[in-house]
Amino acid sequence: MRKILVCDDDANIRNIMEFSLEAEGFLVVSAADGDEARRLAASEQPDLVILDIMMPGSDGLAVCRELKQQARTKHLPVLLLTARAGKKDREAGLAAGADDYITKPFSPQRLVDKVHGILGVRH
Amino acid sequence: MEIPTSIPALTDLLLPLASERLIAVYLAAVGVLGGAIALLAQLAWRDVHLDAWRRLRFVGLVLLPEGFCRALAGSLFGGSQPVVTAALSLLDLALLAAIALATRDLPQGRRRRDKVLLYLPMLAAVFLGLIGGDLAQPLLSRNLPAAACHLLALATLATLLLRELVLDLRRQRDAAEARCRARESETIGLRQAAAVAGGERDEALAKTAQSLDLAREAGRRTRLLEHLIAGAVDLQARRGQEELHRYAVELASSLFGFRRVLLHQWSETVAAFEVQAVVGVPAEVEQQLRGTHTDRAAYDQLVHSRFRVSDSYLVPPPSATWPPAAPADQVAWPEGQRLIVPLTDPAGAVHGFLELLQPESQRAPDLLRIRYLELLARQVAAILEVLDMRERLASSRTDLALATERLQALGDLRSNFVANVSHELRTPLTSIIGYAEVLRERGDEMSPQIRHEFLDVIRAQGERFKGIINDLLDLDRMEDATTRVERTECDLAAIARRLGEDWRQRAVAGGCELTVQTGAPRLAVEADPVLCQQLFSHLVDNALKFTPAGGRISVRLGEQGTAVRLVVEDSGIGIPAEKLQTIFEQFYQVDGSSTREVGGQGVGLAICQDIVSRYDGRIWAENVAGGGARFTVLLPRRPHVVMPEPPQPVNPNLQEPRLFLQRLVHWVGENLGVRSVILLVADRDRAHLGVLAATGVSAGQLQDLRLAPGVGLAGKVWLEKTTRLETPSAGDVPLAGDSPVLCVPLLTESDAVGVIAVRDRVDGRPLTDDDRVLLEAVSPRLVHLIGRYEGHEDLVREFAAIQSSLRVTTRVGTLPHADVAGVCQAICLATARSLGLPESELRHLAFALQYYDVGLGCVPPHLLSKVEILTDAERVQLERHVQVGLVTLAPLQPPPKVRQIILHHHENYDGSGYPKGLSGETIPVGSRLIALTDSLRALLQRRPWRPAVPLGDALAEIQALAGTRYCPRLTAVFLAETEKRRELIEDLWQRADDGEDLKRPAPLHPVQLVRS
Repeated sequence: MRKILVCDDDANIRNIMEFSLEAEGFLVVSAADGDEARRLAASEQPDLVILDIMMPGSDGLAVCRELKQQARTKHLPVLLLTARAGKKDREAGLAAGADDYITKPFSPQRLVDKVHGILGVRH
Repeated sequence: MEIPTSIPALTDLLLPLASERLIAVYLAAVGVLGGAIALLAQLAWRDVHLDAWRRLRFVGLVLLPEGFCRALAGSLFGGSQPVVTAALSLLDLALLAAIALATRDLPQGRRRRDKVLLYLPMLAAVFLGLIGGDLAQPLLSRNLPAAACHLLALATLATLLLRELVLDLRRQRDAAEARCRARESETIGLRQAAAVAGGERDEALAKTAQSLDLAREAGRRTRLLEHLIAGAVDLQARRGQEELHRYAVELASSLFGFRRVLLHQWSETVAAFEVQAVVGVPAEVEQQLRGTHTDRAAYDQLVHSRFRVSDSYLVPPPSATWPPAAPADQVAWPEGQRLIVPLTDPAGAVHGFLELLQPESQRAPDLLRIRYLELLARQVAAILEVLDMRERLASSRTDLALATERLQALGDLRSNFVANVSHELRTPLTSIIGYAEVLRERGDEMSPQIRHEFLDVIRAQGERFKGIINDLLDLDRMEDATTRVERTECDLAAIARRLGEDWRQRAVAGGCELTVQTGAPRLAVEADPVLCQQLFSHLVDNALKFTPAGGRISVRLGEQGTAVRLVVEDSGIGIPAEKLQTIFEQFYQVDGSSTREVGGQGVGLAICQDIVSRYDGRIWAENVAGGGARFTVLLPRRPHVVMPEPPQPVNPNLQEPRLFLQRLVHWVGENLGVRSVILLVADRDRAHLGVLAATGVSAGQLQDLRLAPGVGLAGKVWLEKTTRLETPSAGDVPLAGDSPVLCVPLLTESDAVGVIAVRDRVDGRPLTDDDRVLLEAVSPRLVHLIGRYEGHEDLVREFAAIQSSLRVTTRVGTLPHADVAGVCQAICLATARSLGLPESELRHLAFALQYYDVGLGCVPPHLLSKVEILTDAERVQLERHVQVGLVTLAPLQPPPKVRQIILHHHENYDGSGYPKGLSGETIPVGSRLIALTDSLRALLQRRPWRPAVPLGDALAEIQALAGTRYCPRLTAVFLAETEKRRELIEDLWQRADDGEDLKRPAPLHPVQLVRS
């Protein structure tokens, strides 16, 4: 079973992502901030990380960069959630090493499709 | 000749001892030797004018004939009587030695007499030697031919010697005669030359004297010009205006010989010429003179065209006749005459003038000197202008830099804002869309409970979304300047009670504890309840947002003076000191990065600021010791203003006229501290008085009210143009009531245009003479402002300035205890009274007392509440409040004296204050009094860096600074007046029950009683 790490500071959004992904048969681990995400990414060895950019603690971009730098986690695909829809923000996300991004607000189905897409390409 | 017999006997005795020839040779040798010694002795010390050749010739002349004759005698007749010869020769030697000794010490360069003395003994010696040695022998032996020979030799020798002597003497005489003649002819020549020269000299002397005078005068002028030029160059080097003033008067005094010189400079602040520098008076007079004013009218009288000389004015003493009989430079300088030299810039504008008195020469300076003085004056004016421009440039440069910085910051804030808003909007939207979609897709599979949960989330997030949209709309409305200000009675205590429960629940949800204290059952202000509710919500939301779980939030309402105070305090993370100033700005959120700890788009506080300032209130933030932030709001309890006939503005969109009247009435009410203000003005034909605006009376009474002159209290005051303080009679509409009314006429120069009436002090005390003084001080301003109001159609911009000025001046102060301030003001006025200040001064003082610290409203609140010692830059910023205050007041056009008092109220007696560094008696009395008043008030109130000081300590503190900070003379009277109110003050101090305001304990830092 594929394991996905979901990280967002808003509990409602976290819940709806968990709900949708679990319904698709994924195993979901969730984190409420960047530090927790970093810890869980190392310990849980998920197959995919979904990161919100604007978060308390260290922001999503920083977490993404860090994950992509460390040997144990650099193979992990990262999907960024961003409330910033500008081109600049997109570029910043890709520069940080993200594999894809999705702009808030998003439809849960679209998120699931994206996840399938990323994991399908990889495997 | 008979020879003594004893000698032949002796000769006979010795004769057989030697042959006759030997004796002859011996005698000849002795003779030659004697002569030679004599000559050598003479030569050895003889005078210098015998040169070497002449000496040699002389020796030869003497020695050759003598030796020849001697040798001839010896060979012809042989020696005889050797013993006699030897004896005489010995005598000869002895004489020679005696001569040598006698003449040895004669000084060189001797006179003729000395020379004779020299020759005679020498001749005598030679003669004696020869006679004794040579002549005696043939005589004794009766050898006549030998004797004749000797005599011949002697004669020859003597002749030669005498001739030499005579020749020498003659030569000397001739030389002396020649010298004499030469000298004589020289003398004659000289005498003739002297005679000629004498004539010429007399002539030349006269000319010289003349040209010397001219040269001296030219020299003086050149020197004057040189000094002038040097001085002008030096002037350029002066750094500040003060230095320049000082130098300019010194230069004028020293170069042009005036004992007393004053420099007056135009001051915008007081709208008059102000004495900036004085020279030539004792220090105490100088202090009096400095800062005295000459207004434009007085100046125009001085520079009347008939006094004009060149571009200056020779102003005679008032008693003198004019014009003078003789030209200006011929007349003596009458006592009291003044020379006025305007400081004119190249464009012709007069920046001030030099006033010169008491010339040392006691005469008026000539035209040329006056022109030179004008040169100097022009130079001073030019430099003053340059300095002024430089100052303005510097300040505008700072302003520009600040503005740029702020623009940049605003730009940053705006982009942050967009990002924040975007995030804020998208977050609930994400939940709404996500939950809705899942519900639609999988709703059927869900349990009803989960479905409900989902629907709840959607609803809650929808609410959140709405809230954000409302905030944004508020913000938009806030930016719209024409928003109507709703004013209905609004009970803040009720709002707090209504919302309190909701807050508490939200706090509990966040793990915090929230308490609400409403202080009084009812705390009403004139405001829009919706806005008040918003204000509360934003502040509480903010506190909830920034307080972590386990924290405490307290919401406290209370009264403070005439205002209602709202305090929201949390135990959260507090506010960084440098942000205290900016948090009320739009778009601002302390943590602007994408690393957001908490939600909120940073408009809440900006909205609060806007709401509060709409009602002329104040809001500020500070950090509380031990972490957390405290937001304090003061909302004034403004009574409703009744305006019987709504004025008709030209532009119906403009709210200003109504607002203006409201503010005007509030302004009077706030300043006097009274509940009721009624402003009545005369109609156009001055037949009736009507109410323009009023507070504290019911509207119905006022509509269509028309008072004839002399009717009712207001009508009487209007007619008589005198102030009255009395309780109106029962039927006296609109003033009827059971409390006394203070009624003051509004006077123009010729007319009474209206009446202002006030009653019922907020603090419940009766109206006093102090109130009268203040209202009379304010009334000319009212006349002025009403005049502006009537003509406002043409002056919309000016009107806006006046309005904002009124608004600032009625803004609720930061002072926690208006009562303390009130007592201090009363002490100040009482001090002024017991000093015997005239009524007009009292009015100025009363007026200034109301406004002297208005500028503080423009100082960032974090500076005022800063606990640490201020940095230099901050100090400068703080000190600028004096000028800022004057600028703020400018639209109200306070009288120059009031501006003076305000401008100088931070001057110290020893000259260490600001902004001008005046000292001693040059500081206006009013300013010195306000300095004392302000200090007393400050000491009796808490400051962030120290608790409130008990009265005794405060008085000791002030006493200790008398002479350095405060005027000692005024301090004594002031302290005495304070003592009289000791009980009242101590009572106030004790009653200050609100510990956090007045007696908050232990400051974090060493106590600074008064910030210098």
